[in-house]
Amino acid sequence: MVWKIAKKEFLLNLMTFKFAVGTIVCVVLTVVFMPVLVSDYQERLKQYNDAVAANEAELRKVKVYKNITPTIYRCPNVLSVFSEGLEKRLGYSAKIELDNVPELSAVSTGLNPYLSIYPILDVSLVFKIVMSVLALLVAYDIIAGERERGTLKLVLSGTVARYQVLAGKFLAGMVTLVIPLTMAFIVGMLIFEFFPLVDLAGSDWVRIGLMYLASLIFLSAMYNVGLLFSCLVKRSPISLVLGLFVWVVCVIVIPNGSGYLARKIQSLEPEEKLESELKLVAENRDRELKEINKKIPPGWSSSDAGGAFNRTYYLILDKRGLEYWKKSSVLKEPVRIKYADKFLEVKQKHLRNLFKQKYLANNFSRTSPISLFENIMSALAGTDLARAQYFMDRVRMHRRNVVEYVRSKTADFSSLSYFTRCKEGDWEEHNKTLEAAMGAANEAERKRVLDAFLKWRDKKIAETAALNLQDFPQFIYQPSLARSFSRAIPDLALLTFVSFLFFVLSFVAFMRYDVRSG
Amino acid sequence: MIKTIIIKELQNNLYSLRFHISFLLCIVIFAVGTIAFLKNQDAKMQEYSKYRAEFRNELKETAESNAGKLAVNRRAFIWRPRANAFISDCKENYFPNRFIYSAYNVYGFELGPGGTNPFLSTFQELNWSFIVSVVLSFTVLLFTFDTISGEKETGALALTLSNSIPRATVLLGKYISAIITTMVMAIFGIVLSILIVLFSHKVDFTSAVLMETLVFLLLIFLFLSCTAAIGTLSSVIAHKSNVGLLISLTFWLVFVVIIPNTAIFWANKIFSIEHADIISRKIYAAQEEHKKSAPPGSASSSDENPFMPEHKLRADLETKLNDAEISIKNAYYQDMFRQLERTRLVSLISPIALFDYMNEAVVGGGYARFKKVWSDLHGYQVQFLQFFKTIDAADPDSPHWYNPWYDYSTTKKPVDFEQVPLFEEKPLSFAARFSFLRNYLVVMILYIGVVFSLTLVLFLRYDVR
Repeated sequence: MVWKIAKKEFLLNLMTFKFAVGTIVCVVLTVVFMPVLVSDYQERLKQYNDAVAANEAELRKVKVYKNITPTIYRCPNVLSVFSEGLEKRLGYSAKIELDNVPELSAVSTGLNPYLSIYPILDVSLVFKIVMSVLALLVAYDIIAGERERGTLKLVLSGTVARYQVLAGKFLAGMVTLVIPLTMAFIVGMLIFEFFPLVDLAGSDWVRIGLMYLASLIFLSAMYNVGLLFSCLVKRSPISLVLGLFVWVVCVIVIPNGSGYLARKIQSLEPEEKLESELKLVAENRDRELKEINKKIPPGWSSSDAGGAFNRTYYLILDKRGLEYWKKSSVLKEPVRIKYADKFLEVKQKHLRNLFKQKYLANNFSRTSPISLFENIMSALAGTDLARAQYFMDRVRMHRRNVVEYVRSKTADFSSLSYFTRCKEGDWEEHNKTLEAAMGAANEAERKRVLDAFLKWRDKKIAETAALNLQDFPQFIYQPSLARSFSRAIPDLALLTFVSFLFFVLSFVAFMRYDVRSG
Repeated sequence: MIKTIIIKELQNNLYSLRFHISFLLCIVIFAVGTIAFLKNQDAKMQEYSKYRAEFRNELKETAESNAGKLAVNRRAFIWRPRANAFISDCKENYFPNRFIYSAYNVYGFELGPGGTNPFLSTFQELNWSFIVSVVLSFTVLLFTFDTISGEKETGALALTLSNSIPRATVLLGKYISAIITTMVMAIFGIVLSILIVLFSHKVDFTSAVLMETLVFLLLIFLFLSCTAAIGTLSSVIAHKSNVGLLISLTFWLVFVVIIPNTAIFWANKIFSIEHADIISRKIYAAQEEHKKSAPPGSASSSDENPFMPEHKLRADLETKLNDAEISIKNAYYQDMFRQLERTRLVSLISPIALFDYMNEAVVGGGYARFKKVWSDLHGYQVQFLQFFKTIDAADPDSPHWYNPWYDYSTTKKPVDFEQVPLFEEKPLSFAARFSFLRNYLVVMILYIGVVFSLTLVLFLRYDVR
């Protein structure tokens, strides 16, 4: 019997004007925005690939260990098309350095700063705005409307139980809503296919599948809100008005209000405080380094050569220079590494403050199914804060590995290969050429000698082979589906509960519903 | 007759459920928004005055030690938190509010402190303007979507029109009563908000703010008239109230949600401008060009001897570099302004956007304020440089070779801090505000006229059976 009711109801729904408009709007919006969003992703992917290739090339050119300062880039997330989250607002890259531990940072997009006043755009915007209205519109007159027409009394005068009627209507509504949702997803997938460079991995498909499921649960929640009002009131316009008010509160008031309130309640420390704390740490470090410097016999370094990653290294050093740099590296680098962690501490303290505000806003906004849905979508797409933090954790682990690697390769920074490639004999050869240049009699002679010197230098640079970095630690960053899913579960559970709660409430209300019309 | 219709309609509206709900919602948001604003305004002002004090101290110290440094040091001007932000914040939190300048140039602007938490999604503040443009616009649509089609369904419309009332009167009566109903909510909310502000004693409610409030009320009236016209139009287009609701809801979605949400996207696609990276590369290239063609010795300097001849070369070079940077940057900024202005122009089809832009003029905030500060600061920079040149001219120990980066070859004598001109932001004058407002006002009135006449025409041909 439930199926019969559902089928009849579903066919009726299909004929309605609101269904036609809702479906068309959904599909049209997807068709308009999807290509732009995907091509934007493609552009970002290209930039990412170029940057990674340039970084690899630099890494192959490294000649001394202290110049190993590669940059790790965050691969753009293809699913940001569905839910942008924080994808474009956080930094894309992190430099691996001995004396600095990377942390999350905001990014200036290089675009017109005025435009930051406008909110972001992604496909889930279409779902959450248009589809949620559609769900309410399908549901609002499902009981009240039938009562007004007098058909409800007729139906219930038969042997059908009330719960069957309600279940049938719920099923019918959901099937109706599945159609535009599925169409939008299919159209979206098709558009993906038009971009040959954009590749969806297997796990991406699973994620999209889960997003589809989450959208269904979201729609059922919004539908049940409409259903509840339809069961609570006698006239369908009133049910609609109530539903729409709830919608405005959920879509506009709560998301805006929660950010606003969180910012007013949990105020941030001024940026200057962070700066002054960082400055203090830097001063302490410099003082300590200065102390160390006093203990080392001064050395003189002569010529620098340009190295990889825009860093320099010592092409040639005399005995004292070698001694100086050796001692200096052994003593100073551990201090720098120690202070890198102190900088991190300060930065993390500041970040925790920012996060606190964000979590507060999130918790406020959890009163709206729309925000729950947003959270789920960004967790599943992997554009949420937790994913960005995971990325940074991996970067920090990689940095640790790199530091360890350099340490082990250079015997705790004591090996010459940490800062130079020159050998003992080089210095004499260098001096000979230089003295000849100094003692030249005339301009032409000097020029000749100088040319010889430059030639010697270039030869020296060319002779210095790049380091063999075969066993250089790899950056490992494998976002796992399970982790994303487990992050989505609390919100997903809450949303399911909300949906179920509204259905149960509707059920209770419908049991006591007065079906007489007029 | 029209009075009777309005009174009857008003009674209907005021007793309706939608009025009760929206009234409650409106009042609650007004109260919550104002209280939250006040809670934060104090902290904001303290932070600002601290910054101002530091700024003055730095300036004083520099002035009393070396006037040359006073001229070349780059400073940031940060604008003050607006006391009337509870009317409309004009999204100033997301605006570049830190202006970098020295005596030689105004270098640019950035998103300043007190700015935003990057991890928090962009949100709008719960101020008057937000409540009116989102909540009340929705409410007025709820009062109008079934004015005609709903009455047709109940059969009351045929009855009304069987009397000797012209259709235009009926329509106008219903239209006006919907506006009045929502205005009642707005006025209650605003009065409540003002009371909260008055009793908190945290913000001065000056006569200027009172004036702004009055003009703002006028704007609300226009804005609600516009939205009501759209609602009535959808009611006249449809023959069933459900369809009328669907149409007005679509209008609302397009105007409130879709147009503002997609504006950034249109701006970047249609009116795209160059990326900031390209601009910095351009500046770098232009400066390198100048450096290459500079005569030898242009990079030398000496702290002891200001009259060292190379200082003149260096001053020339630095001036060229400075000019190159500024000319490229200014062109880029002009592009930015144009991009924003065009985006705004496109978004004018949404009355909500129109209302937002008019609010900027009323409270003297947002883009109108930004433009004013930007141009004033340029004027100030010229004045500041003139001041510095006068001091420099009086110093016999200075060769008067102006170098925008270093104080090598200009006066290094102290100067009386009291004489140094300070930049103060002047509020937008009423004339300036009005001229900013004027075009938007004309568009809004035209908008109302067109939509309402269309509604009237359709209603005259409406089948009331």
